Amino acid sequence: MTRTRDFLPLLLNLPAVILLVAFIAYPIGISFWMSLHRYNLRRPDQVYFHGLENYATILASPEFWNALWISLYFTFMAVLLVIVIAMAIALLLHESFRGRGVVRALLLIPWAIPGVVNGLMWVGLLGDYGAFNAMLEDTVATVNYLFGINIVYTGMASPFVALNAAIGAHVWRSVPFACIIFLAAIQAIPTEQYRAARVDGATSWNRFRFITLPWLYHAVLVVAIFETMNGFRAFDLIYALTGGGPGDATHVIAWQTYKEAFARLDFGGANAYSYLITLITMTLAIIYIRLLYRRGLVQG
Amino acid sequence: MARVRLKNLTKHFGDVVAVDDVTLDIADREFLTLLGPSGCGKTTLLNMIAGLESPTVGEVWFDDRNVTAVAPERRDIAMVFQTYALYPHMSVFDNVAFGLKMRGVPAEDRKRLVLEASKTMEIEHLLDRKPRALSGGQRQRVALARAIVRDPGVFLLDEPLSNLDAQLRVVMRTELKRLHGELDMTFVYVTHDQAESLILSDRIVVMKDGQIQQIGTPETIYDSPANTFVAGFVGSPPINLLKGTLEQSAGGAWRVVGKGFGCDVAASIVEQMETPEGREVYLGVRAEDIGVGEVLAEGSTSGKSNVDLTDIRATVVVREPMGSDLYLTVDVGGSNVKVRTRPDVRFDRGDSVELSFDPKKIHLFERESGESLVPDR
Repeated sequence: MTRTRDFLPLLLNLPAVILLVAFIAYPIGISFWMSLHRYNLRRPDQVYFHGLENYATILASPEFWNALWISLYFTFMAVLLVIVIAMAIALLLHESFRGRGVVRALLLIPWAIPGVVNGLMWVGLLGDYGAFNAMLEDTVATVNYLFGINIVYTGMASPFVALNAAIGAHVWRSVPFACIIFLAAIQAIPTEQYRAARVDGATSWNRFRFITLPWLYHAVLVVAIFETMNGFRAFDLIYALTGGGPGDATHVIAWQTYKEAFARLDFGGANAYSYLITLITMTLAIIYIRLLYRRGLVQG
Repeated sequence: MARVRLKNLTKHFGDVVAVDDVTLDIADREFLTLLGPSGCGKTTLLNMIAGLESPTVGEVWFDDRNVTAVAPERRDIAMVFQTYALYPHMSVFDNVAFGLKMRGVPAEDRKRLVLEASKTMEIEHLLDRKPRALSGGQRQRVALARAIVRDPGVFLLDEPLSNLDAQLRVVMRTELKRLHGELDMTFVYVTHDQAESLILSDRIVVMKDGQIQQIGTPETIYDSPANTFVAGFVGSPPINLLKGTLEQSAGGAWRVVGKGFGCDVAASIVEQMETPEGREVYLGVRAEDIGVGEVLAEGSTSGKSNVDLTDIRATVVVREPMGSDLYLTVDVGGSNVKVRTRPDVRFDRGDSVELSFDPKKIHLFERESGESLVPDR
């Protein structure tokens, strides 16, 4: 009887455990194991264990460092813009105005759009015949005319425009999620805090600085962690919008991983790339959490 | 220091009238309490004095200055909130200093003033702590220090003791009374606790449904309630209200007669009425104004000697010893009546007793309107 009772919970958990092992634990394990192998499908006869060789090769390659810097720039700009824009929108949506509910619902739309669709949509806007492209072109022409200068506008053929357009599209899609987190955090600030601050003589800027912002540290951190990870893993959008180009201008680290796996068919190298991305994002997450502990916002 | 005058203050929230035409004159350095149940408009009224709510109609004056449209930060007020509203990310020192910092007081002066206020509130040893590391009582002291540090003219307190446990509430009540004695400030205090209001106030404003029911000293409010609401709200246990009718006996004396009781009424009360005969009233009598005695014989009792008229038979329903007092709930003609008596009285559940109401202490209220029929004592 007792044995049956002990066995039953295990049995009931077994399907979930099998699924977790099959779809999460096993791929993670096999991926790491593959990263320690020379594993190129072009040479399927030459699969063998060679330790940390893949990692060493990656760390010595200029491609990796280029991709890392592009990813860092992409992520830094994306996190910064998402936090600033989402906070501004959340503060606006916290105010009461007619149609606030509708606006809050509409805000979610970009979040619901898959990354590839988002990329294709921005291709439409920023492509040769896109509205944004035309606007940018006209703006550059006007600036040239007004200041008598000659900036050559090449649209998405320009590495600078392509990378920043990708950041813009990524931010556009990421803002709603961050906005919801900020809005929830703002709504949790007790009204009496603001009332007390008003009686204490705080201006609206000081109320934002000394009340709203400190209350939002936690939410900012959560958004920063999420967005950092999203930034480092950005791939589908890049795939649809720029295809990694022009040249290697939008070769973010996830793109580089894709290239290793599906262009060069080097699965050993690609898995090593994946683990490096994991290592970087985990390091950043630990730094963020440490910062939070230091601020005393999380009970130790 | 400031005299606060409210002129016909009204506040609507959509269709709801939170405060309805309130006119009030609060003297300089007075301790005035706004007392009433939840939703009576007392906090809204306080917020309008603070400038945190704008009145729909009416004006707020501080001394000779109309401050109706003046922002809270320019009103020379300080406020203590029910939840203390301490800034959780700042130390106690920074919390207390915040108002001074916002007003551009130099750092040196800030430090001196914070230390002074901390000394008054006995929180000098807590200055480096964050609010979450403080007990409820300590938080309350910090909130008070934050309020007094700026030496405001008007000190507004919104149910500041309601989050404290019973023992601490007693301590902080004394502290507030001491503070009012030491500081040259006008205190406006909001509470739903009638005991707090009686202990602390120079005057009490009893509110219901956004309207003032009565303004008076604690003694006036307690001894001469303006209506059944005030009589029932102020005092613990609440006043006993018994339905009755005014009748004149053959000898010319007036009595209130109801189900299971009859009680003499002073001629001075009845003389003021136009048509006293047959008038339907509530007889109000407080628990401590009722004598209770053993049933000896028809029409006579033992018990309180100062009560000489009674023919009220009752049965004890509940006996509640409270240490210094004993509360008995007795049944009078189907109505429950609370009686406060000495703890050594031995009556218990089911005992028959005779009650005596002190005619000098009874209250009469118009049945329909609930208004008092007894002139102020």
